[in-house]
Amino acid sequence: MKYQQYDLIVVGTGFAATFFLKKYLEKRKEARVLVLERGTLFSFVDRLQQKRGKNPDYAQSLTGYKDCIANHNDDKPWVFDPNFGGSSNCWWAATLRFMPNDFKIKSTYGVGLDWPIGYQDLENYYTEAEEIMAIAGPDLTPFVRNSPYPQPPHALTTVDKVLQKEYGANYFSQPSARASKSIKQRGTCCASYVCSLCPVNAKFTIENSLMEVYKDERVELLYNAQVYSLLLERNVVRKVQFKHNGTDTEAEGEIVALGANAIFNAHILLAAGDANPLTGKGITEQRGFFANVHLKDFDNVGGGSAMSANGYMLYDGAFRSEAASCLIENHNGPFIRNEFGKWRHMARFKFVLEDLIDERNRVSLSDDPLKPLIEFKGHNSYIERGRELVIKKMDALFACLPVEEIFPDGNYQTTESHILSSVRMGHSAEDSVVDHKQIHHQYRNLFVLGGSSFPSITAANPTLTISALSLRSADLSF
Amino acid sequence: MKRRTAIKLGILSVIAVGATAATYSMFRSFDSLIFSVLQSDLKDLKLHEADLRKYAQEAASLNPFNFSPSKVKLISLYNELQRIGIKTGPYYNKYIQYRSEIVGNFLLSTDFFWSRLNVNDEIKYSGRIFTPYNYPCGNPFSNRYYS
Repeated sequence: MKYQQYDLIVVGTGFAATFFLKKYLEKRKEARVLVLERGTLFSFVDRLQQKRGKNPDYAQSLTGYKDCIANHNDDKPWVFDPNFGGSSNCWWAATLRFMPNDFKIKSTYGVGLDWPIGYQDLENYYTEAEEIMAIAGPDLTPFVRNSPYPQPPHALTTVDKVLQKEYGANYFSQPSARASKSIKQRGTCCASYVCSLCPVNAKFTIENSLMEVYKDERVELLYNAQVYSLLLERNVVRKVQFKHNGTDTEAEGEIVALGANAIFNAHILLAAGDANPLTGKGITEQRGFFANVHLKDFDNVGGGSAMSANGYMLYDGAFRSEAASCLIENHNGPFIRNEFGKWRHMARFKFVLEDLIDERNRVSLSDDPLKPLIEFKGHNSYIERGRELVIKKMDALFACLPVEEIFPDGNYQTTESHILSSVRMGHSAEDSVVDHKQIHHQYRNLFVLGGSSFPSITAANPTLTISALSLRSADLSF
Repeated sequence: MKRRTAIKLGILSVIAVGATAATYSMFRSFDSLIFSVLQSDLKDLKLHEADLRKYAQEAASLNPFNFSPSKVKLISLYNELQRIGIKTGPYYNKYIQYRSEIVGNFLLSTDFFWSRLNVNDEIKYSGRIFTPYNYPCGNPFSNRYYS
């Protein structure tokens, strides 16, 4: 390490960490910043090589996400990318804003928890995050926006056009960080339907779009540096404790920002001795299931991106007092209907349901100081009631299409890969761990960024909100 | 015969046949399973058997469908059940979906979709298994091909 002490130490290099650091560097012309990344730079090119069966030598020794955590529940995987760029490497680039009621489901519907901020507190930062990611999106959406999306929307499929005609602003081309026009290193999305590793690099990643943040002369980036604890003294973080290339090391920072995922943020706090009883509790994610819709003499073609559209017909309403909100996605992969002459007389939709926080689900310490233990007892029955509502309304939802039959999956997907809510935000230490700027209530020089701070989750993809929150936290604090 | 007894006998029959089929299916290789599915489901298209065999061998090796061994066994079992006229079971819908993934990947690996699904033309296997990394921008239903 270059220095004895740093102005800022950032843990992680994913969305939460990077957007925070970007704003911090805009505001602080002189600074000494240390970034600690547990993994390494597993570059886009090398990932492509691996996909094509030519594994780069170093890639064989990379630790997969399963081996980073202690998880005894085989039915509930927690999926993330433990290398530079974090989940920007594996996300599917859906960038939906939350809706105003998502921030106040307790006061509106009597369930879950309210956020200490509202939509209006984030609106400008949503716009800024969308500019940074060069989001492709339509003019007509259910979101209250003060400016157009940076890039034109992706094309709707023939099925989408019928649904949009029926539902207006509640059915729209999905706003996404899959470029509709090439920008920087990114090619144009062509619906390859493998956004987890886009073959043409159309998807925004930290590597292809924000590398300059880490090449800034004010920033020192250490790879293979896993933070496992903090030294806490009298309501202040004094040091960050980490293993660097296998050796125990410490670094001193005036400000510390945890930007790892909801598993590791909580783990670091617990290992440090954070006494807040809510730390680590409530970890969860959404649940989703697919349905195939068979159509009569109607080809589903022409979509411009992997998920061509979103439907908000079941997203919000009085039903949320009893049953989960549902986000509808039209999946535009090269699927077929296996019947002669009807190859594309089908559509494939996904229904993603929000969950309510349950404190029985939590992150805790394991025997291995580097591995968090995740104890997950199960999802809330709120989700199941949401699913029942969706199934009940499905025929009516798609009545505007020439439907032959609908086949909802009997099972949920194993994961939605959105790990959330282990270090929740709120007004005070009695009901939360961090405040509205994601600063720990007790340790006032400690930011805990990212999806860990969500006091309630929604059906919508969280990444845009994570990024906007980081921009806001840095903007208001420096 | 009482209704409940008849139902029980029906279930037992399915299980018995299933057990027999499962025993047989355990000996059926992945490539012969793929070939069997394609030969059955694409019989109305103009295809060369040699192309089906070549694809089946290569697909069994590469597994572009990402089928786990248990999924392959499930497909094999239900494939045998279907051949003897049994089209039911707790995972039948899943089986239909997996089957369509096999057929879909084969067709994506031919010129069928790029010739705009012309069933009157002879369809040729490209010699390369379809994956998004072998065919970037190869989704034949996207706005690259339909605008």
